[in-house]
Amino acid sequence: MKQIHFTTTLLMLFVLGIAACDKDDPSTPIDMAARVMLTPAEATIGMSEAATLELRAEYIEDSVFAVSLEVEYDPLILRFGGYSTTDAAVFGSEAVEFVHDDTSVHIAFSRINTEASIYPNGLICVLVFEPVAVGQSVVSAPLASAVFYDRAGRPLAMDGLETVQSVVTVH
Amino acid sequence: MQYNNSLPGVRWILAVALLVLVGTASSQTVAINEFMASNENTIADPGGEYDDWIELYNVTDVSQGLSGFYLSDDLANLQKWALPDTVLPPNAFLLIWADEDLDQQGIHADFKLSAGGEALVLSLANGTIVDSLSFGEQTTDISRGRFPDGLGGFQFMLATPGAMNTDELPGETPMIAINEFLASNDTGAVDQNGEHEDWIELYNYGATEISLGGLYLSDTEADLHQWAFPDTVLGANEFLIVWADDDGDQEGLHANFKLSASGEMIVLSDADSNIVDDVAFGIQDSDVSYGRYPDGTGDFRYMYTTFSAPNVNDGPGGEEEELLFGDSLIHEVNLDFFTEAWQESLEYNFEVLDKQYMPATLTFDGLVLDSIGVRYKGNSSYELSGNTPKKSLQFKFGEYVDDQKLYRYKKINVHNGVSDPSFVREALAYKLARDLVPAPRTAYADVTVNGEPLGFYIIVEEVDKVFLAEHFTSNSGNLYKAADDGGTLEYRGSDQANYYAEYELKENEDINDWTRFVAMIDTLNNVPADRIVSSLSPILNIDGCLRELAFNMVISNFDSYTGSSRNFYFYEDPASGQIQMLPWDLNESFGVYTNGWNVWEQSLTAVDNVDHRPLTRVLLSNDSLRAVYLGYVDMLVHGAAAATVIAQRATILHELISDYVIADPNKVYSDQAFLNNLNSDVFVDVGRRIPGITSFVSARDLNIEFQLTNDFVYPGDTDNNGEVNALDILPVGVYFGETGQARQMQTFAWAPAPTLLWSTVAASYADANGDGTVNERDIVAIGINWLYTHSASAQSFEISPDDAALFWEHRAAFEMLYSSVSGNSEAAAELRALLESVLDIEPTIPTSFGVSQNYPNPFNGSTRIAFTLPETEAVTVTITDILGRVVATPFVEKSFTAGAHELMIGLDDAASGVYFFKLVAGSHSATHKMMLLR
Repeated sequence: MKQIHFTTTLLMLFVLGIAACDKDDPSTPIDMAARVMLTPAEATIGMSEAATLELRAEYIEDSVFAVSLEVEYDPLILRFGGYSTTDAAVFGSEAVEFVHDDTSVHIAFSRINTEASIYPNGLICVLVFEPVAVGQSVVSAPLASAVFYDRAGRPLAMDGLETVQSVVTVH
Repeated sequence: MQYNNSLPGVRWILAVALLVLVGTASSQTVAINEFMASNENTIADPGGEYDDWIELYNVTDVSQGLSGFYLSDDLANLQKWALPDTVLPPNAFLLIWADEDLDQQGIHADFKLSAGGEALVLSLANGTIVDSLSFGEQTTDISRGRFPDGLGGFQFMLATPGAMNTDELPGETPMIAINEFLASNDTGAVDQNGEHEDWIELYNYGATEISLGGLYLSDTEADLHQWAFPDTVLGANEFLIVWADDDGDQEGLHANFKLSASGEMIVLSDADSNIVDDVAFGIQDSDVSYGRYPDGTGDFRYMYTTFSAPNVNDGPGGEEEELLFGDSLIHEVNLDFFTEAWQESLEYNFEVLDKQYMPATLTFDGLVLDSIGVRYKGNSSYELSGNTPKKSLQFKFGEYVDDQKLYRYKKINVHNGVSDPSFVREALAYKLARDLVPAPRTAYADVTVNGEPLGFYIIVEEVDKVFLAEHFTSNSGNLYKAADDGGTLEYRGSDQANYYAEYELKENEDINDWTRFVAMIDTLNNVPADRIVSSLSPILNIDGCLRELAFNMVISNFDSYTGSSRNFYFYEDPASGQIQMLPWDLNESFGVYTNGWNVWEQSLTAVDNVDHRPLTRVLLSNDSLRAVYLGYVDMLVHGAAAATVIAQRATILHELISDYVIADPNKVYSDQAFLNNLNSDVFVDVGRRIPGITSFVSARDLNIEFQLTNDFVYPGDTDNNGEVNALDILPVGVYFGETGQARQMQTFAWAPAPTLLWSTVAASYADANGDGTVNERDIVAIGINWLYTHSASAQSFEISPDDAALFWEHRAAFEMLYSSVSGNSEAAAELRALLESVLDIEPTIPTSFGVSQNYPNPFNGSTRIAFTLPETEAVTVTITDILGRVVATPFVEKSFTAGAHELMIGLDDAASGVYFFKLVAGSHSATHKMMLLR
């Protein structure tokens, strides 16, 4: 009986192991496309709160010196409340930053030429949106607006660049 | 409207004959026939004003409706002015006043002509160009027109508005020529002071004496009247020496300029600045003159000096060269093959047997050479030639008979002109190249095979040991040629075998030592910029490379290193130790091969392939070398490549070869294409445009002039004062939102990019990335290029930080910049400090009431209004919709003191659309339109 019990246990562990492996099947390809994203993908705020979204870049393999892009949102639902960077921000402390909101948020960050280029994978800046009305607003960076520049100031051809939006719900 | 229908019988026959020649190949119905861009005394319009005019001509024998035709002087707007809905009878003329007087009687276009030169285009509603031309500087009361009407090339002429053109010019050109000159006189003739000075020889080749008073000599087109002849006479067939030594105090004739042995130009002109004769020349050897043979009218060649005496057809190059090469020489050439299937054999030898020769007997102007080698040649030209027997050929005279030569030559190339309807491109381009660097010579040939006409060809000198001996002290060095797929001069490592795919060693193949060539490439690619000139100079003739790059750019010869990376040689000159760059294969010059660029507007310095053209990149990124390069460009467009010079040379050649080209039984292009392409673009195949020679050069020269005179943008140096610093935020603020022409290359790269046409010149500098808009992206350039410097331009657009009125006018933009720019960098801190300073400056109490346009506009939700009051007033702001209904009154009788103020107004609940805000302050009021966009 012990042997049967042991065997059964082994079988159960084996089955469980197989099941566990299925969840992280290495045959499932990981999406490695370069992207500009707003996170979190979803945020829900009340009328007295603000949504804090991170503008991030991932899987960019080119070394970059500057970026220019726009962030769009629904002004009937949200208003732009400002931005901030942290010490962890990829463009670092030696940069000229331009962030201006009119019909969308215009963002242009450039490192100073005495500094090295960067791989901008990580936090670019934090964007704050305040509620205007109850509803839902997509916050996104249109692909056509996103331009990365190399150290020489030349636009980089980033084939396959994706953008990932965030959806902010105001209740 | 005015038109003349005046064609007596003889001219009807001529017109019909021309139409027969044209046949179905031509689609042109109406031609730009004549114009005058500077009219002071010639003809007055119905309003009595002497205005510019354009004459159209119906080249057909049927009436042409003009509805749907457009005239323009703006290549970016072909439909600038629509012709009236009228009919032009057969072979009739129509006079159009280019004077913007649309309300006057007659036909008046809504643009004027520029006497300095521009373009004219006649087109259809669907964008099809019917006729076009570009022209340069115009002379007052001299028109420019086609002769013969409708089909001929453009030339200056006595004006005949509304009537048939004439090829007469007012006054006769004196028959005096720049006959010979010596620009480096070490041991030759001496002047009155016993000094070996430069000299210029004039020759009267006419039958009557010529008064020299009123004639001028110069070595620059910028000042044609640099030196005036005294009031003296030069007899028929007499010579006259003018010393070019700037010794005006000496006896004799001494011009107030010297000649440059490195090359420049000499111009003989009259009192009206008409060019009587001119010559542009390249490098001159000591005690070797450059003169015409025969005297007065012949081509220039290097020759033994004949000071104030008839020239001799002899010089360091020997006599025989003039028997073969000469731009105006046309040879009778016959090849006798042993087989009637010679075409098939030549094709088989080329395609299958790796370009093997086959024997033929050559008869060259009566001279017979037995068993020369003949083969087809070419890369793209071979493919383009298709099935025609008239492909490009190479003759190798000693292929089968040891040491057999034609005169001194072992090989010649015989080109079929497959890419050139005008058939003058190679002759013109090589002649221009020879003024700058060692380059092949040309001639023409009418070729028969086995007694039957094959076609008309251009002969091009082979670059081989014979050529090298002509131009270098030694011809024993290595000669490399770019491979068919091109050679970029990028570094591939130290192993010479890595370069075999891109270059072919044409001499000393048995030794096969590429060491020096590879070392040159290594240095070019891998030595830092601060040492590149000193490192490269010993092994590369940098000056020669700059000349060639300038040549390629001026005539848009882009099937070259500059563009395709093809068609050039490098010669390792043992005597100097330097490697020399030599041009080759110029049949697609003058804009035929585009390399994907705009051949009329390509930037002189911002070239988008420099990552793979290290020679271009390295030389043009060096300030000093770039200045030299631009100097050569300037020299060309004002000298040998000037539109008038090229037009004159091209026209002479075109007329010389016309009968032969038209009689060619295997010609590639129609007679009309040949006739037109001298001056006009020709459209061949689908979407393939071959620029007209003179129209292209006129437009290209204009564009280059603009580039040279309007400076360059260094991205980030928005005020163009030579340095990128905080002050460069000021033009961005002043011109924020302005738009204009985008540059071909949109980049912040620290390299000069040509400015383009903007309504505000300064704004084009604020457009740092060249995308056509001044916006936040241009601030990126200030960061990327922070504190970079360049040689300050003569034209800067510095804005004083104390210009309070200017900042007040653009306060909204500066406030936006201040609220938007941040960061912890030194640059960001300086920018913010400057903006704070700018915004803290308060203007004095305004003396008048004023209300600015709201900002932003369009707006979403709220927007700002700025206004000034000369005294305290109660202010009311009312917002109405487009129907005049009041939608909001954000301010009612609110008191404001004298000074400048801003209000924020909003339309939270209104729908998108046009609204008006009205601000009333006492007896003053102002209304502005604004746009709400949700």
